Amino acid sequence: MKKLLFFSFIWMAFNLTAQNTGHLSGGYEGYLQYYQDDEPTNFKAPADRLRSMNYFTTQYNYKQFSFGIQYEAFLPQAFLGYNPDLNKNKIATYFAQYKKDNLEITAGYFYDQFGSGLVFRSWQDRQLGIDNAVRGLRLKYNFDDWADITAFTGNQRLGFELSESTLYGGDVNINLDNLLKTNKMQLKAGFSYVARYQETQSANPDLNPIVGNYSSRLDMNAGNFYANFEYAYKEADARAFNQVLLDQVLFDGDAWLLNMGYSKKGLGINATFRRLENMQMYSERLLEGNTYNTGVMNFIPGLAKQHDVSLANIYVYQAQPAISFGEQKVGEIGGQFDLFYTFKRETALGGKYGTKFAFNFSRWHGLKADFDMQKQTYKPEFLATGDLYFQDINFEIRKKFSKKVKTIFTFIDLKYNKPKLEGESEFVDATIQALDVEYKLPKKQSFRAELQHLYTQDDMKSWVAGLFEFNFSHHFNMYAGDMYNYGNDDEKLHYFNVGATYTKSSSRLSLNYGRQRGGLLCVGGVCRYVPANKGLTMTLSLSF
Amino acid sequence: MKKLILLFGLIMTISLSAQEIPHATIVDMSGNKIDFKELVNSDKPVIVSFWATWCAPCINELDAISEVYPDWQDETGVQLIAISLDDERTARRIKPLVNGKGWEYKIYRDLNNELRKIYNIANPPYTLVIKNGKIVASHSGYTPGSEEDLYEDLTQ
Repeated sequence: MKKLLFFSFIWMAFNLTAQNTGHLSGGYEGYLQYYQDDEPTNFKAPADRLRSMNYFTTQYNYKQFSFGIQYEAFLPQAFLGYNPDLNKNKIATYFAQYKKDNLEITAGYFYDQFGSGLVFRSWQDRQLGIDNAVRGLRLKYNFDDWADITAFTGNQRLGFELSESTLYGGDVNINLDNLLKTNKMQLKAGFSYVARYQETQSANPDLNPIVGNYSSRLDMNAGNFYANFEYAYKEADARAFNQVLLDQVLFDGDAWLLNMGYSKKGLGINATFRRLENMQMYSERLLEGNTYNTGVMNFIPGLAKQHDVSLANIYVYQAQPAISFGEQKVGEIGGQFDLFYTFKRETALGGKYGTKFAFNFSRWHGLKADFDMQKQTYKPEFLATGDLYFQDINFEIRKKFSKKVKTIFTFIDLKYNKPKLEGESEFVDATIQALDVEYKLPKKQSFRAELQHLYTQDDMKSWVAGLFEFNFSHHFNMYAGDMYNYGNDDEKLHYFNVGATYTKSSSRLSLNYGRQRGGLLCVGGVCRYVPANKGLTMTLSLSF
Repeated sequence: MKKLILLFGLIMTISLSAQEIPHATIVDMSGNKIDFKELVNSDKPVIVSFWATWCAPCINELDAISEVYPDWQDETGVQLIAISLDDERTARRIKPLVNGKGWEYKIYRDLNNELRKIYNIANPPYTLVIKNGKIVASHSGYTPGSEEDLYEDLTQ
């Protein structure tokens, strides 16, 4: 408590003395949940029915310096599905930074990403309960136009503690534009090295306390074309499963990532290819595979379209970088394709206001490999594909019919290998259709109605969903919606929700009451399992 | 609980004239680093819209503004800077999406979440209206017709 008051007075002091020469910012983000028993889903409310998760951040920028603090309070503990270590309230992260001309030095907790994150990324995502900031020292130097370099060392945040292991690494990005004879093409190269030093007792003499990850990248832009390539390599390391070290045989890993695209006004195309083999990396070996994503060191998101359609979020693809002898699966290989096109106004398909079309396709397989269960080794093929894990073919059409009416039509064809991806049930073949209509009323009011349908003969079978949202003004709206599993052979459940949202400049307050479907909650390709629950949720965010 | 209420009170009572723009590094679509404060420093109004390819209301807002953008530019000389909060998973879709929709905005990425932290953006879209280097209005969320509020901020 005294620490809090002390820091608060510092904020106020800075405010009074440095009113015109500094910038103080910060905010509060809070979540309050009240759990209720729910018989139809066999949900028994946990010991603490009323829980809150509160985040206070403040940052002060003054000339070349900036300072920040984040205080977290989980009272009495975090929501279901979050790391149970989050049941305290204390200062979670803090930093001090000096930035002048080409130099930047940060001490304390920092977030960063090298390349696409295949070898290193530290970030915070409150919905997922991820905060893998590194506490230590980081230096960045910018050699004007032609290169920039980053180096860091530290320990990773694990809950409210720090990892025993030490992480260190460096990243270099070089601008090769000046080497090229033409100014019609831009070329950039990058290299990273990130290592983890962890001493572990092991019978295997080859187990090295230092495990290094390397990344090399090339990015090219030429007029309307662009291409990005990254290759990452992880040195041989032991694996772990359910906190047991698997050090009999050590495996290295690698990742190939290629992205290409073409875009000009009215048309955009993008294609991505990725192959992953044993690329998961944790700051402590025994954390491998933990359900809370604690200790992840890199960012390996599932590369598939993030749908707004709620029924499409029942089966979401999670990347499969790891090796599992038990399930005879290793890694993943596949790709994603996107096309965006605008049919111009006054054309046949464009209509009066133009029509916007978006097509997306993604397909993911496991690697094809021979497993030797006795020796606990495997032999993978490079480009061959193993089992189909996931396929999503979808398109979206946005059309404005008049000054008052806008519609979005979505069609999705989904294939989801639930046994291989979640370890249960059956392979799901589904199609989803969704229609969203927005109608503008006078006096800054409007409403939105959404209807969705998921048809499948597999797993939980078919669903229908609807949502109605009324905007009383630009600041206040209320909504009511339901997801009904009408096709289910066992229990046909309604997952209903009602709520309201109020916003005023940068503040937002929302209330929701209803039954949440259990399953994977995925944000940005990284997922967390959420148990089914019913109750009241309130979220508040304020910033200053 | 008492600690929370006290801290709450402290935040609410801190009234600041901190409408100044901070320095922060963002990246353009060719990978070049730009300073945010220098970018928005102009004698013409600037709208900064924080969006993401996965945020439907953000796309709705930017689509709606794109229909009236030429008129706004003729009238006020406004520039709209769209800063994407996409991370590596979805960042590749930015260029094709922006071009596919024919948006004329200047697009940047908040690569290391610097601005996201400074402005405490939990739920995009988050839009700022900046005049002469100072923030004159901010809006969170988008409902049909909200772009009219932005127009009012521009012309006041």
